[in-house]
Amino acid sequence: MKTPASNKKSWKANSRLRKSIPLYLFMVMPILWYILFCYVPMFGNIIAFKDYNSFLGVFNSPWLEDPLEHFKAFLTNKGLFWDVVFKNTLLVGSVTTVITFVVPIALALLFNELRLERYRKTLQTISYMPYFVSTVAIVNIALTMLAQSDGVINNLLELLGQERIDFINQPEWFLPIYIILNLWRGAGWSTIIYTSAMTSIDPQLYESAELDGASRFDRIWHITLPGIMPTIIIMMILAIPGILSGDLDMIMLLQTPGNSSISYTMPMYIYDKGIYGSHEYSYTTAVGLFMSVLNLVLIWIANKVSSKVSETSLF
Amino acid sequence: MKRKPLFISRMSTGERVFEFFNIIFLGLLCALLLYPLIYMISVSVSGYGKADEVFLLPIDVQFNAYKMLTKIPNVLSGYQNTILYVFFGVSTSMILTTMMAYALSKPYLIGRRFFSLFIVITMYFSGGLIPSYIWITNGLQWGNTFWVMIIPGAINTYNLIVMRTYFTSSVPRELEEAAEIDGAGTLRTFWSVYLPLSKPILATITLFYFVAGWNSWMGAWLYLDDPTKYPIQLVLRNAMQQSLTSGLSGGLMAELIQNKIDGTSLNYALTVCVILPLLILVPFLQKFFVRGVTIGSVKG
Repeated sequence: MKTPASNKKSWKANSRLRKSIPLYLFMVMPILWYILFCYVPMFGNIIAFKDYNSFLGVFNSPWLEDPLEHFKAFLTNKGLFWDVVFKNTLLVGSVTTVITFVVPIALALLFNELRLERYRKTLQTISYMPYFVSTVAIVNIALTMLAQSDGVINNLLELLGQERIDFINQPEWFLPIYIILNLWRGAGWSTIIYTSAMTSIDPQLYESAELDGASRFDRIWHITLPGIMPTIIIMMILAIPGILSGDLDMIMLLQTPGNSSISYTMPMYIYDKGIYGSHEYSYTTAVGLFMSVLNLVLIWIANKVSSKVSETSLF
Repeated sequence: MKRKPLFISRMSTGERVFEFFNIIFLGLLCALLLYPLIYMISVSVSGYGKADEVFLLPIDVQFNAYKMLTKIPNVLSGYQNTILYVFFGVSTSMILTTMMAYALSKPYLIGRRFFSLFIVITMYFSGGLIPSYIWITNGLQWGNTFWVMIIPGAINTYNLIVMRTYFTSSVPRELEEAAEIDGAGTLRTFWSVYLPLSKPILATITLFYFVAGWNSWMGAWLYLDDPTKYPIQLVLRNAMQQSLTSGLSGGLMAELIQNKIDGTSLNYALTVCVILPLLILVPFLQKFFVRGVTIGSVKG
């Protein structure tokens, strides 16, 4: 015999199910998409342990006798893999990540100190603009401006009595150019998040600090910075993957034979060996898988550390 | 937004110097950020043989480069393709993203945690370039199709989470309950209560997808072989790689010289046409972008 209470409960569960069913209909297409374009390729990583043959397909290609053969191949490849590709990826990734992480914070602090409200808003709008310029266009503008024979920057150098520089073919100029282009595109845009965090700081804190005679720098250091600290930490965790992934996009457009001793990084290597050149699908999948796992570990550590140190974490 | 009060009179000399330099520094910095864009426009409208002499303002203004653009192979078709890809791409993206975000925003959805995890995992671990490439070209056989430009990149999980956060936090629960009491079903509630109230976030996410779609070239470059299907970004990229003029036929080349157009001007005219549609939008739509970023920063 059912008691009224259990009746009510089952009715409630029933209604929950009844209300969920239309939502499942909503989810059919998106879930199909996630399976097709995220989970199938994820599963496709198994070819890292196979000898992939495009006629046989992912399923029917034979497993390797030594499943880790491809991994061993690049892990022991000191010359190209470690000394060139991995080193470049780490160097370009870490320097770029640190600089593109720190500059927006500094910029947001400076913007925040501008008392001329209209001026500040106009400047910030200008600083967002380059974010909407496509990578192709950014690189196109830069390459023309930097051209050795007729670029405006070299014209300026000559005017100042300096030598013309072949910026785009010099390995030592690759990193500065890459970083400057990234800052040009993203620094202003990235200030948005900090600026909005700053506006949620209680103005009374500033007023009482002012009454206590705190200088402006004291206020930045003791009120503004701590106020945006949780945002800074979240952004830092989000920036971590950049250290190892690097973007194929801009690096590929900026790469020339002249600067490849530094611009040849992991995504380039995977593209080169996998799609462009010798179609070593299994080998490059193994490289990609190794980097993904490394990345995951990095994010996990960053998250762990930040939740210990500051009680802010991503998940 | 409440700004800090102004106490100019109480500022120490050090603070005044800081204030002054801050105003100058940020002004110069933004001028520097704008410079490449102004320079580009100036070169694109400068006269024959003058492109190399431009520093800031155009010399011998003429618009021949822009008139010439339509005759360059793949430029017009590139523009058309981009508009098509962006239109259908953004529509698909918005439909899929909104449906999933709405479903995940409902606390009564059975299996909500599982499905949230299902999508969040893909942000941290992806199939990688090669398995995706093999799957799309070999498995689906989508190489060189219209679909490859629309479907594989349709959902951006980050955008989806931003939208879900908005649905859960910014639409009052009472409204949904009221609609239910009035006898509205799930679909009806979604359509007549949620969508109208979510216009700001729908606009924001549409813009995010629009910008990403307009600016992308990688997918087209990996999966399309036929130059008549290229979006404008890929046309520009190829022009940059081999300089716009070297790919031209003899007749067009002669026309270029006859019309007194520099290769650089032509290149920059194309670049201006590629980026201007977005740049014009920025000042007007700024608040939408800012809102999207701000919601995104709330822990999902």
